[in-house]
Amino acid sequence: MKKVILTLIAALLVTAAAVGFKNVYSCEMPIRNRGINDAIKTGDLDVLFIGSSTFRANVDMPMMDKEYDGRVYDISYGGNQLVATSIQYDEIKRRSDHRYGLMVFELGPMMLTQEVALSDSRVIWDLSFEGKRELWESMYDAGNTDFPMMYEYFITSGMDDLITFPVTEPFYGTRYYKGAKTDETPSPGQDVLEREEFDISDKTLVEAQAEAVVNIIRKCREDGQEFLFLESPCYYRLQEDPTFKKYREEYIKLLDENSAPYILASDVDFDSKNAEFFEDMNHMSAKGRREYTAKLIGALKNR
Amino acid sequence: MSLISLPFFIFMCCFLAAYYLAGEKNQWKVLLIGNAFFYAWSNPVYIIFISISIVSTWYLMRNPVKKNFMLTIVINLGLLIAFKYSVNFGIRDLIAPLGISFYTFMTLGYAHDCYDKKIKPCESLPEYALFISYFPQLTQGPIGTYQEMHDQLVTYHRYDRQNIKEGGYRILIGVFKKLVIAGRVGFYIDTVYSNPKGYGGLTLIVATLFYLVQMYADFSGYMDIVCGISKMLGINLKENFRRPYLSKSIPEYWRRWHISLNEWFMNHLYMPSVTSGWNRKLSRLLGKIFTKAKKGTLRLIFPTMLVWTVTGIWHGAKSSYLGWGIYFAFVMLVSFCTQSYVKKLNAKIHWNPDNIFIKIFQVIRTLVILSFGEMIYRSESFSDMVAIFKGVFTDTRISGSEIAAAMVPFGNGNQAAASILILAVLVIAQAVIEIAKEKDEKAFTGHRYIYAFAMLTVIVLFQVAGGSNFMYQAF
Amino acid sequence: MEELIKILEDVRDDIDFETADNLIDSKILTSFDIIQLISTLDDEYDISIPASEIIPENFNNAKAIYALVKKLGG
Repeated sequence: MKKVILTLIAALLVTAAAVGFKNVYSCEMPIRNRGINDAIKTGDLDVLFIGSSTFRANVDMPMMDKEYDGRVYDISYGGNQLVATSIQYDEIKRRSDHRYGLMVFELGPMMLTQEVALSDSRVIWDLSFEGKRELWESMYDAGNTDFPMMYEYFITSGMDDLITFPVTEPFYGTRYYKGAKTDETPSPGQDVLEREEFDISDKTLVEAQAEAVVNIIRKCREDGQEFLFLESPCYYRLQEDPTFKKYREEYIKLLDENSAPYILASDVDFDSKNAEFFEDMNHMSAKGRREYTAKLIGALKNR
Repeated sequence: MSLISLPFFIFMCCFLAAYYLAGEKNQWKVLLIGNAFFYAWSNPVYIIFISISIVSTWYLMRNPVKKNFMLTIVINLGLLIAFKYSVNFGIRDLIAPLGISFYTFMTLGYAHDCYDKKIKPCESLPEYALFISYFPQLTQGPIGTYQEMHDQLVTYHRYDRQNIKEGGYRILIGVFKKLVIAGRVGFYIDTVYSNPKGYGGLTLIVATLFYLVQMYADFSGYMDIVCGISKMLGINLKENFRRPYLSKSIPEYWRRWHISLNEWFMNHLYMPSVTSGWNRKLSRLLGKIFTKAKKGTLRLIFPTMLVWTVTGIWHGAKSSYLGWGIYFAFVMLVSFCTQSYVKKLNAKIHWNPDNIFIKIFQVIRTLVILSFGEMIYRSESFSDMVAIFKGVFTDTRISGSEIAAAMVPFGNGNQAAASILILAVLVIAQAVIEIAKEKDEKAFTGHRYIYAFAMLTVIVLFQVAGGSNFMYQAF
Repeated sequence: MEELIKILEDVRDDIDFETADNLIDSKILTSFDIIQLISTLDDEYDISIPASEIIPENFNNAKAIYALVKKLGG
């Protein structure tokens, strides 16, 4: 029996140490080309994007890099969670002494309908333990949590990455640049995009996400941080969906009520009907990404 | 109760105490009460049906004449078909009693053996009930036989620390396989198989291979847990798996996979139908058409079709299970219809079955045949199945973009490398262990405390119980 | 008897049936082998082996099998 107990205790100690290490130090791991840590290391920035995979796919960072002499970054896996974006903002302000000329948040209409949850475990990885706790609490307050989820959140998420870090990091590091994708993603063709199914008719507004928007605006103002909300163009079929339009109006209304500046998709001369520019309803192909970024740069300069 | 749950853990602690504190005369009665409690917890109302089966079978088979045997079959099979295939009769949402597929087969096996006078009918109803309701094997088998189980169940088992430790270790292995290996590939398979048209051939092949991994890790892991629990009670259950993916032929596979089920079919359906009168007549008829057929082959045709079709539908009411059964019926038929030709061919090309490369070839060939069967089994509709086969045969390319596409169903976009690495390590480790044990069963039985430590740590840190809660959604 | 040995080797060519014993008890023959064997014996000798005769004693070695076949009229 003694050996059994010793085995159990040893396992307990090792797992506790691993979990503790991961939860406290994951945000400090030397990750290249993406994430909050790398963004902070880049120093003072003229433009910092904080958004979802839409920002990851639709903004061409090499082009932005050139335009702004390297003082740009794209934090792009908040997923579709405005709550997460708000917490990521807190993290950056807490951990970084640098100045950020302009913060660009994502105006994604469907983000207002997302249940408070975690759509990408890389978000947890990036946050300090305080940030991790803050995000968990907002999920808990929204009532969307249970024990298995908490177990995954604090204990198992990111363990794969932690263990395989020396091997996988060099590989991952090449797929990103300053937080955005560098893949030469093709378009699947007009036929596919025309036939791609989506049904968002059952969506409803989630208060917590709307509140997060207001919080972001308030915090930026308190911190004297210049900001704007950017709507990335999506394929025209999604743009014209009645539910999409409805939540777009909601979002814009919210921003107007709080006198927040924004750049809409329609403010940029980008052809949303061109299938070659898109990989799916939200994400652009490499061609679209470059086309859009060129126009975006103009819009940012003229705001 | 699920075997991996807090309620069950508490149940086991209390039950073990009661079991070993009970005296020599009462221990098996405590077990019977434990069985009843376990069954009632999951399925209180349905305890009626298992009781009907137990009482009627015991009573009827006390006098093992043909009439009673037929009646026993009708009652038990009738209940099974009614519950399991109610959907096919237009009744939806009827939940089947816990373990009905398994205890029905145990019951019918017992009845058949009584009728054939291979065993003497059990004289005591409580003892018979003990056998049928034995809780570790109730939910997913193994399908125990009366001959193997009865004596063990009624004998007194003294408390032995060794049993507890060995049982615990076996449970640990099972939990590891289920929560670390099987859980990990589940999401990928579900994602791809729910929309096969959206994925290329390479991804479909990967998903299918993962399904082979998942099925084995999940099922054999569950068996490890069940055998471990039973071991803690001092009762040994038969092994249900014997390194099935090292099979060099499909017939061999059936001797290594879900062994108790396939043995049941061999003994109670295959053998009787081969020797039956109707089969004799049918094969005579066939013999008139296929006059050149090798002796003995024609006799096997209808029984093979029958047994594998039934094996298919035993799994459930879905047409994909039936299709799977029929597929393997054909594979088996081809296998022994061509046996003599293959033997002659092998002699001509100096086929050396001991050559390591030949063995590897045979294993891979078996896995390929299995994979096609599992594509049929796992597909969620007929059109999905067609899409999968079409994709695999016409759309498989090896290219950078195909490989990248194959990583997407891992659930975190292109961030799959870490998951793939861990999975590769686990699968390779499992394969190494199994190959070692194939040569020597005692391989990897030393250093158990170190293995236990490693498994515990990995289970806590790397388990994926039911698919991630945080899977990347492409929005 | 020679004919029988040939039939047996047709089912399993890796067993020396002249000397092998305990074919059933030592699980040398698989249940599938037995089924194939019974099927072949039934056909070759035009007999019908009933379930009650499918016991280890009758199949443990070639001599026993031969005796069974003769007993059933083959």
